[in-house]
Amino acid sequence: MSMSNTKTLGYLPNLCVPALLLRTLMVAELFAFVLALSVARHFQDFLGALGLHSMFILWVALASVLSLCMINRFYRAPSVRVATLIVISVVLVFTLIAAFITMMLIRPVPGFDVLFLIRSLIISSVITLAILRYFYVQSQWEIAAEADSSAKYEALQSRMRPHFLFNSLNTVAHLVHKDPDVAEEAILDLADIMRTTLDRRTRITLKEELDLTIRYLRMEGLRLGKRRLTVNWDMDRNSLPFDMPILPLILQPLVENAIYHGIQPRKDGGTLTVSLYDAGEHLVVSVTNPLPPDTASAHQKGNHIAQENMRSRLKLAYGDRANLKIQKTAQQYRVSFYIPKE
Amino acid sequence: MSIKILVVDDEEFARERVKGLIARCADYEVCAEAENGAEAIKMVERHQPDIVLMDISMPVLDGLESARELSFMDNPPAVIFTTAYGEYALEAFSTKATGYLMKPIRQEQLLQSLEQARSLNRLQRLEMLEQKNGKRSSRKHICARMRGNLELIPIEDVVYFQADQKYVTVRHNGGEVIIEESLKSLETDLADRFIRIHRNALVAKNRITGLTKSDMGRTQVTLDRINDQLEVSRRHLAEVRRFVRGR
Repeated sequence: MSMSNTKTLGYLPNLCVPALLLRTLMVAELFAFVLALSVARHFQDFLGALGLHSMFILWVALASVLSLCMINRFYRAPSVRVATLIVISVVLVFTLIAAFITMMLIRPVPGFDVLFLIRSLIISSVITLAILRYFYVQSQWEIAAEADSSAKYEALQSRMRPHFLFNSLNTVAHLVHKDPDVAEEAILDLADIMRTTLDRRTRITLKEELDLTIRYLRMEGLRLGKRRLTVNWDMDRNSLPFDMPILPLILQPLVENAIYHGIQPRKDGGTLTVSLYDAGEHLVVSVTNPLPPDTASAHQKGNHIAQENMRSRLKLAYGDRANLKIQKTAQQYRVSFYIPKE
Repeated sequence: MSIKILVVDDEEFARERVKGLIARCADYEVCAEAENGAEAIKMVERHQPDIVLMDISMPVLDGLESARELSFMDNPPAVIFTTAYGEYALEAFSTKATGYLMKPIRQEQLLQSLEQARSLNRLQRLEMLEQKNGKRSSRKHICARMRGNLELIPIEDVVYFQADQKYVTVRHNGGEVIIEESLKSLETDLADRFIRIHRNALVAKNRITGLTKSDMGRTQVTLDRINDQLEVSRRHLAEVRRFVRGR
């Protein structure tokens, strides 16, 4: 994702591709136009001046860019100061050459003209510095934008509801006396769940995500009891691509939501269906839960923040190759998504 | 005689745990348990506990709504809320009282809260359940008790409340029930959804379709899906008119 490797000399945009070369030429021509405009008194004057200035500036710009691309091959990431110095020197050298050629060959009265030389060098360095400043500000902005989007990614990283942790600990506190074996099992599950949520990898395997979800459901099963939570797994264990890399925490939060908004507010609980299938290029996943009673409190009904969050995460990770969709019928609520097999 | 406690939580293990803790405290005994707020009200009526340990997040009727109903009783029990994680809704309740317990609950904290709660008199118990103005937790049901049965009417289903003498009649989509709560307290709780049209009537804003004149020359509201005739008093007419036009 890093943009730094497409940069020329640290902070300049990648000058060595046709598109940017063309843009350089256009900027140079524009500059020639402005200069010609400022010196010409008649239209004929202007055309002549435009031609001369264009030749001068295009030559300097093209030669400089090509040289910088060559230098860039050997000296990739100098400090900002060194890079600036290199660029200025290169441009000044070519300006000097261009000025000499102009003085000696092109001008109507050939001869050495110190004033012309100095004028050319000053104009050329001012313009170069202005352009460098623009590139510098832009590169800083890009760095900030990049940091911002990775911070966003982390902020979007799903987090377990604290209720889950404390309710689970409460369950365990009881089980320690009543059934130490089950209590131990629960603590191990909790440990694994916490470990996965603290994991900072950007991809885990489908199997890891399924394990997390199963452990999570086991904990919730203990808490809500068999009467209130039934889980129906709809998947073909023989054909699922268990080793497929996926964005972490994409299934578990959906299941958590389904329990929190769909199962828990119902007096007699309900059945949760988790379905996964391999659709060739994509993996298709859906979580279905019964609807809560109409009068469930607003926070139990949910406000779709979690789903919006999930949508953004899928978009950041997969772009248009993933999609999330919500279907609500009279009895059921279903969230489904597909992701590409990478 | 030991102090009677009602344990309310939708999770069986959570109830078991609290029961286990209470069993270790002398002077206290668990007289009953309930799985949700509605059951809690029934159990309070049946067993007259001194203290209720009430979970907040529960199906059917949550702990806060249940506590509000309990506060309408003549001699309400002291309520100690239990919660797994800081519920903002608790801020609505007066904090000078016994407060609430965080799950998993510690034995000594439980004992301390119980000791405080048992020493409260009726007024203090009421004060504990009193919610600060402006911070009242949102109310989702009207609870009507009919011969030992608790009927929960979702607020959305209520068309109007009409007071006469001692009782308030609740007209809802499915019929009528009578409650003992005052119109004043209903008005305070439901100000955003209901409008006062008469000294004795509070009507759901979204059910008012317009105003008409009766044969007697009195102004009445017309209601959506219901033909009942409700009079608008002169005192409230201006405000009701403003509301009907302002939509």
